[in-house]
Amino acid sequence: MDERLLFDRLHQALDVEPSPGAYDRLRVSLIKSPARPHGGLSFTFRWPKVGLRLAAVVTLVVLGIALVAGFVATHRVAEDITTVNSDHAITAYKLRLSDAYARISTEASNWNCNSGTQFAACEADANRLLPANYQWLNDLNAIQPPARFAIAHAQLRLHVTAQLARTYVWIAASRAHDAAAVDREVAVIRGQTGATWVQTMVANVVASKQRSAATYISSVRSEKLGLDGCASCQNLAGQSQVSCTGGQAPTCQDLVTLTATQVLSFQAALIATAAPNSMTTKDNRLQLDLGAAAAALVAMDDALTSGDQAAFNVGRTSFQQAMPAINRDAADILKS
Amino acid sequence: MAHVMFVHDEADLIRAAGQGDGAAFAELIRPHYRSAFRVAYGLLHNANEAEDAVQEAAFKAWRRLGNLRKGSSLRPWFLAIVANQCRSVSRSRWWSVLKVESPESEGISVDVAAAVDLRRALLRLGHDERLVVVLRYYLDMPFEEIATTLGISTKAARTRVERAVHRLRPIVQIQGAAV
Repeated sequence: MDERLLFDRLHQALDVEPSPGAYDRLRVSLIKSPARPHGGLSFTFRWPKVGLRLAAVVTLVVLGIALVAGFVATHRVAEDITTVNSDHAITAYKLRLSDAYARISTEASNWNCNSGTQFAACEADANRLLPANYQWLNDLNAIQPPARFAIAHAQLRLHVTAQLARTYVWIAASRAHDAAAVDREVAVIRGQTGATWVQTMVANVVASKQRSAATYISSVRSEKLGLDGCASCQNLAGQSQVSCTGGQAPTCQDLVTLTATQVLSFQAALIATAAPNSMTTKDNRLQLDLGAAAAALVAMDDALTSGDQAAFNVGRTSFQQAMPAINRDAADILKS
Repeated sequence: MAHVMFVHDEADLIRAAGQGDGAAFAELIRPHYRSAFRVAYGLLHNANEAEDAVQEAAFKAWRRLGNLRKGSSLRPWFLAIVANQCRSVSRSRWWSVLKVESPESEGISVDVAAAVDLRRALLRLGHDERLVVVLRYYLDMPFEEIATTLGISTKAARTRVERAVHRLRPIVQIQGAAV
């Protein structure tokens, strides 16, 4: 690619200067404030207590049921996509989804739990977000998506259900005064299979535009290359043993996070650069299989949070089944 | 504050800032403020958040001034702190209010639409990939300085830039064809 072209385009896209007086404001702040000493909170890693383990197991069971139900529901959606796909229906859906998301985002913006040691603040945040998440799920259930977003919508419900289950673990950890467990749960709630996934998908639905076959195929090709080049994805999809116990847990977390980032990127691209009508059947297949991979990553992420190797293996098996299907679907689109 | 007027040497400014002189530290980062803002804006795509991030990063840099190795350049060190601050902002911004734009884009010029597309494409990159694109193509930074900023080898910096550009390539090529 012509480097100059990218340079010019980037300057055009990000042509913003600091507001007048911005540096002076910073200067005044620096002069007024004395330099503070070094310091910061540090958290030690502890495995969950017995009560917390129980809560985590119950959550995993609930989550497992939710994931299966969501997966079935998603496939049912795919078999029965009959909703209108008009510009009006698409705009109406974007507005309703955006409004519903704004409600949960307003609730979540009053965030006080900045570290797991703030037990009262963390429990209060979790208790406040729980009904907000239920409302968000109810809103999603009440919204009828147009065909273009039917699969993404079903997956959105799946992820919000997972967030609800995680919020219960968060509350249990706060009540047990287990700072490390609170930190782990908050991290997963905010992470690539949690809020980041939800936020990215909502943003891409809002920005979605139907494109030509050439543009759509180009987008799929780019994402497929990203997936092929993602060592973590290939590692998780491969047959080598992955142990996540003890000191291996952070490595497993990296594998899941990096893979989830790549899968989310692919999912988001399919929504942002929506397939032309002539390619929706193939696109739906790819979206479904990416959704299965994303659901498997949710299960693996939760298994890591609760230190459950067996549950991690179950999630990984689902991911191993989804990846070849994704490769087939993408290849089918690329040869179109 | 007035005593800063007599201090011109960077080493003197560093010494004065290290002793708690905020004006001296402000002078130190003055030449890099615009670059820092551009990095923050390129990563966050929000001017207010970018200014806040640079301000927060400036305070962090001041507190950590002792970590700056003697003889090493201030700019990459400061920009690395700004980039880390932006990463924290992005993480804490896990819920944000989204606005629906009109589905019709007929009134939008090709240039504006292309810029919006490129910004969207940038936002779909991970933090590290977005950072190298901003450093290389927005700040026009040589690979050696990118490497220093990221604390990696020049070769690794080059590879990261190539990987990020590879992911942006389809959207930029489309834009290139449109004009």
